[in-house]
Amino acid sequence: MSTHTPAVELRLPSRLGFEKVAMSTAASLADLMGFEADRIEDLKTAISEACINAMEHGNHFNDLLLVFVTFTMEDNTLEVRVRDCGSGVKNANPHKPDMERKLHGEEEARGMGMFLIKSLVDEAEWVRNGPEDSYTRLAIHLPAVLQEGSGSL
Amino acid sequence: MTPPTKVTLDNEGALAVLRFQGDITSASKDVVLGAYEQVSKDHVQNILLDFSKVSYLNSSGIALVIQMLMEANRSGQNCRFSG
Repeated sequence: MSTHTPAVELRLPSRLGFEKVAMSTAASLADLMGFEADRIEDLKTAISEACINAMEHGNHFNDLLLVFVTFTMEDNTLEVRVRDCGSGVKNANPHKPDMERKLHGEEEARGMGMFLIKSLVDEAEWVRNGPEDSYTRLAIHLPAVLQEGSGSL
Repeated sequence: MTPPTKVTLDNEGALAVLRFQGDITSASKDVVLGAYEQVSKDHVQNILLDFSKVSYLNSSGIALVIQMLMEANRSGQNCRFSG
């Protein structure tokens, strides 16, 4: 069995709907690694939000610009990087949405994506590499009880 | 590239039921807010939002639902969820 870390890469057009390709790929890989169904749903939602942010805020829905999604399967961790051609987010600490304030128009209805991402995965960070290169890194870990029985891919 | 959102409206006296189908994303704005506009503000006191046939709802879709709730709140209507 090969010992290198398996990785899968997708190149998505900056068009709404293609985030579902990343969601299904994530689901397949997480299932292969032995993640439970609820955890896979969490990851799918987080990846969807990261891809949409990349398409919208990073690439401004420019069809000529791609969103690169890289999945890396470590022993106990599935890491996902969603890269776009934007300058990245300045504030990587999303505030917790206040639904009461939203309902009364005192807070923007939108702007929950980063909070959702951070809430749903074990690790989330937003990295700025330059004016035209940034990425969101997400990771989920297998619970210790599953790690003992997980096979190598 | 996103499947269209479908909404059906059933009026039962002071109750209106909005049944959503398919994806709810930023592309659903006209359909979602347009459906609420069809609900009578004079006769309908309670609105049931049925999401049981929604296959995909992202944060932009949640924001649309919040906008709809804001409108209902302003009109003094009560909203409940299902699905």
